[in-house]
Amino acid sequence: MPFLLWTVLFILFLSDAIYSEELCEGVQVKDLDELNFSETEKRLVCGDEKLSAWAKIPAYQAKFHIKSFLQSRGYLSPNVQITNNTLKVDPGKIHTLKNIRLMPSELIEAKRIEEGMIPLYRDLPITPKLLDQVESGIVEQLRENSYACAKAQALIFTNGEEVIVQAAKLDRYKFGEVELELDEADVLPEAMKRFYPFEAEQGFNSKLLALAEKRVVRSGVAQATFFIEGCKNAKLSLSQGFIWGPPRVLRFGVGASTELGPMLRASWSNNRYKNMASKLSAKIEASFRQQVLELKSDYYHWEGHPRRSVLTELEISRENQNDFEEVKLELGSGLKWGLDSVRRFWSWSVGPKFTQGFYNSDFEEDSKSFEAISISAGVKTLSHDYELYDFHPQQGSSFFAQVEHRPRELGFDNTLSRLGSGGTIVGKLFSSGRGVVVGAVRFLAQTGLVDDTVDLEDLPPSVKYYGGGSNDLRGFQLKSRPKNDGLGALSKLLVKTELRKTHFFNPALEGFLFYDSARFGERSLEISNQTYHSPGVGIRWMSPIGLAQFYYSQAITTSPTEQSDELFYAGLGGEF
Amino acid sequence: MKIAFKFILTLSLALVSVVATIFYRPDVLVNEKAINFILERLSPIKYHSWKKFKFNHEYVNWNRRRLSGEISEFCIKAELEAAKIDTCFEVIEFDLLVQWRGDEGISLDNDSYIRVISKSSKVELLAKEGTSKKPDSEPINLYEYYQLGWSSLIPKISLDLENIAVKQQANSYSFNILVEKTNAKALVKFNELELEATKQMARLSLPTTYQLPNLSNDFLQPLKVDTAQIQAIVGKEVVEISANAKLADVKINASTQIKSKIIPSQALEQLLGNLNGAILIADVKKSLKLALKEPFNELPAPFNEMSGSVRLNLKGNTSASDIPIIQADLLVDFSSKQQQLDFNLKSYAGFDLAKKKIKMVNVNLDVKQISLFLPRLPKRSLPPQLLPDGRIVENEIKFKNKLAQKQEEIEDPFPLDVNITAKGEDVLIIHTNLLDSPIRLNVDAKIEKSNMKSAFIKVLPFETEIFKRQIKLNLLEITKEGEDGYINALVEFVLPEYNVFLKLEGPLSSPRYALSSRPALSQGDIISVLLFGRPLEGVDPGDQEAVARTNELISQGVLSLSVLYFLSGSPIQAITYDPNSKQVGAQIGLSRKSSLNVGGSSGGVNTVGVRYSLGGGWFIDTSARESEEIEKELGTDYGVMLERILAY
Repeated sequence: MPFLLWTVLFILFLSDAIYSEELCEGVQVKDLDELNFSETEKRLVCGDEKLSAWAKIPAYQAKFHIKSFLQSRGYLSPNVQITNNTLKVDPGKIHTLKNIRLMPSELIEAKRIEEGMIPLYRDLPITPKLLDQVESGIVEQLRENSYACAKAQALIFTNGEEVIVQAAKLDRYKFGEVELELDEADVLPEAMKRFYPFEAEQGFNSKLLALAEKRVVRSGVAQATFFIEGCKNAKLSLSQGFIWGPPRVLRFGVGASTELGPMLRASWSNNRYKNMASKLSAKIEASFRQQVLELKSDYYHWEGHPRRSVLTELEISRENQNDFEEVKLELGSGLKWGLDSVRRFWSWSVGPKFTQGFYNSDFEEDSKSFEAISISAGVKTLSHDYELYDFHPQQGSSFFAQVEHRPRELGFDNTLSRLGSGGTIVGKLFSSGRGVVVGAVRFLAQTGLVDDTVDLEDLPPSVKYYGGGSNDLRGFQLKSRPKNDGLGALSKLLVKTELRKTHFFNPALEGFLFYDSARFGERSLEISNQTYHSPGVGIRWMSPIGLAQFYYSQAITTSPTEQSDELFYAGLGGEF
Repeated sequence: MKIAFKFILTLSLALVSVVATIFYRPDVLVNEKAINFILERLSPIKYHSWKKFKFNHEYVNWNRRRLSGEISEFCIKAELEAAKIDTCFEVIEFDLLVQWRGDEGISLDNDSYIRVISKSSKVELLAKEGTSKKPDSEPINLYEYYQLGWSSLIPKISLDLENIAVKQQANSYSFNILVEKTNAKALVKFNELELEATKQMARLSLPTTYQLPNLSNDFLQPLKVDTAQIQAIVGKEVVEISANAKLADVKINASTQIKSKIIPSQALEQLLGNLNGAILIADVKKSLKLALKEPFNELPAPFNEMSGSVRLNLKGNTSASDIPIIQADLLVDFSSKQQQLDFNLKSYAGFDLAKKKIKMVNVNLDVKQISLFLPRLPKRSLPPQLLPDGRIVENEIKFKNKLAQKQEEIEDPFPLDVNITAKGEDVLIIHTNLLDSPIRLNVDAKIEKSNMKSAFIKVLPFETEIFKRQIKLNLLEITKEGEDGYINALVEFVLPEYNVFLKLEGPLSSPRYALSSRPALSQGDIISVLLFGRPLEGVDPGDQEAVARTNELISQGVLSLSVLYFLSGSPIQAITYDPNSKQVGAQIGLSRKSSLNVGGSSGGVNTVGVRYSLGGGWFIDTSARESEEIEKELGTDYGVMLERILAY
């Protein structure tokens, strides 16, 4: 009997000892080491000796605080008891998210939104921060579907692992007219219309508001802009405010590129010239491979046609590649229009251009001069999804088509028409772990139409096509293909494909597999049998200083005999 | 005519004969058999018995009769509409000298008395079933009613009813009633409750050190009443009521009056309308200690350091409106060496007594001076979560009930209007360890029908040192109209050679910012001048702690730059951008080996995330592309540029 008594007493003593890891006097916490309370949290539970106002925390207030701290770590159903003025805390288990249910279930978009969000948060500890993220993610998706004023309230019952999100204010709105708060800026309201990717009668989409903001800021017209939405009435009220900042910017710098070597650059721009916020700019850039002086005016003259401008450019450049060298002056002026459809931005341009220059290549070392007056026209389009990305788009598409005609009658040695078309399609394929698998395809088709009697060496490099480089055919050196001593090609066909895995072990890393392929032709509209392949694998890092990429690639040339080489590349910046 | 005369005469004679018989021979009606007969036929009475029934009448004079008697051990069981009664009276004794006078009619002699003694009774109160009370429209005269108790027909009464056990559904309680009434005074004791009455007034009082029944064992101390009295002076015109009590160092005084001639349903209206009272808690700390159990017997931090008083003045008013209005002024005056809480809360509450509803509550909070200390918060990380999150629900049923209640409130909001004003230089002061100077606030907020209508918060200009740099907050205004909040702020950083201005404007959830300087500098230079006080230190990307801190500190839509300034104590190494989360952030150096990131939503920054400062105003720029060059010829990467930027 005494043995039994002692055993019971021992167990009681032991259980208390296990329980009583002391955070401070009067506060006992189970598994204290795992909780890792910060000094601030300790002060809010135990009191702060250095601040008399917070020196004493009553046990009921400490209980209140400690429940909050545990919630922020995913412990949603702790057992916190006050016994004899002592706080005893058993944090319980960490609750992890298994499912998200969006209410009301009749909401057409509910299932799609749920399916998109669950993989992002599955098995993560449910914390108030996570609930915030789920709420804001759902609101954002609803706001992209006309529910401009949508609200979402997340809820988790501690006996479950499903986050229920109740959506409210599910009225669909149109954009309506934007009221501009131009304040002190000497800018006409019409000047801002070119930045809007939406029409007044179009269904609301928050992404398009974000895009409008980005367009304004990217153009440099204002340092920042923001939209204020009012949901008080049946009609949405939308006003736009600005933080203007100075209109003129002067930049100068030195640097280097993996492919261009050392670089110098200086630029000046006036981003708010006259009351239609036209842009004047000048840039000088120099590397061993390229030197460029560029003067540019994008002048918006017509108040009634705010998306129309006269684009005038003067560019003096020298390009010194492995196999050729070219110096040229280009002076061009043309009319430019922009247009936004529901999902895409479209831009057209047309105008004359004067070109003069000289060049030489490994094939023929004597310099040859050229001059021409040409007419060029182009159209480009890119989806709003694509445009939203500041760099490295993960969704959307862009296409362009360009034509340039240099008639012999206007000074060029031979009549030449250049045609080019290309595009990029990027899309999320499926979720994988925390990230997604993204597929990307890029293609380019270019040719120069010239009389068959004209030899390649009679044409300057700037009208011919080359391949290779981190943004082109990735297994080959910059502009090193076709391998014909810098003669270049009159036709080019390039297809790039890529599979990306975002959140590759780390949110900042992206793994990618790629396969690039190109063919060139020495005649107009002709493509040779020689194919350049470059399969490869790499990693991109969204580093604190921007996008860095590292890849290894094979460089395979198919004919006349198959040759294989390899390339390891490391560089900053760059595009797919 | 003759027949009618005869009939009236006969009837009158019969009536006189009955009255005369009852007067001269009451034993004809009042005798054991007759009473027994009546009780047996009364349907509510289920059982009755007595041991001894004695009734005497005595001739005193031609107009005076003495009626006396005694019923001993009289037990009765009755089932009434409202209650079941089972009681026994040990003694019912009476001695009544009935007299008749021409001028007064029938009356009792002053020495007449009734004495009743009961040792035990059982009463079970029954639940009433939907009885609708008819609205009363006839006035009653309280003075006359009260005087009836002192009429010559009421004898001296001595009632001693002990141990009355009352059961009402699940509740049961017991009490004793003692009544001693003479011709000039009455004393009623209901347990410890004592009612003294005279012809002019009635006074209800509790004995000193009376212990109140404990309503909550977990929170409340056993409470003793020092004094408690309610007194009513019943006049011909008005009944004046006054009350005073002292309990756990809380003093309560109140007075009101109602008209003596009154329609009963209007009594409450008059009571409230004429109310004049005050509740004074001279020492809140002491009162809490007396009233509540540990640990609930002190205020939460930071208020528990302060001591002071609370006074609530109540004043009724019926003249201003067609409904009774009570004006309540709450004066709070707490202070300590460092803190102060001094405000006046004036409120008006109007009642619709017919519907038993509060019709309107207007509250005006006038802050005289509030000076409070925030807890010490970390300078290098975001503050911890201070409040339990309401979205995390432990009890599903409770929550659903609450939700239903909330829905009702949305449909029929409580008519609460609140005005909060704190205007002046030193009215509302918040001290925090994050700033050298206290934050001085002005507030003007309006709540209409329990919903926030508008709010305006203005932080008065101040100078402080953050980040080892002198800053001036020239302007900070937060305006909230309905659900939308907007910020407008201008912060000036005073540096040896430059004055840098940070302008914040836009929706509160995602304000936009812009930097400018005097003399003018480029955006990049401004950030550099501001943030990079020392050469960059290496960042170890493998530092697990830094990664953990990074995850911890990614802010939720908090403006990135303000986060940097208010939460970091070290120079910032880089502005970063995460394209997946679309968040702008800053990397803050902590030591040679560790770093952390704090950030917020992108504020429309052009080439953020691709700039890295080397200090001294120089940046590394790895911009992927310029603004409008959408389809550049393929070929080159952008590389790295070391840049200086000037905007003017």
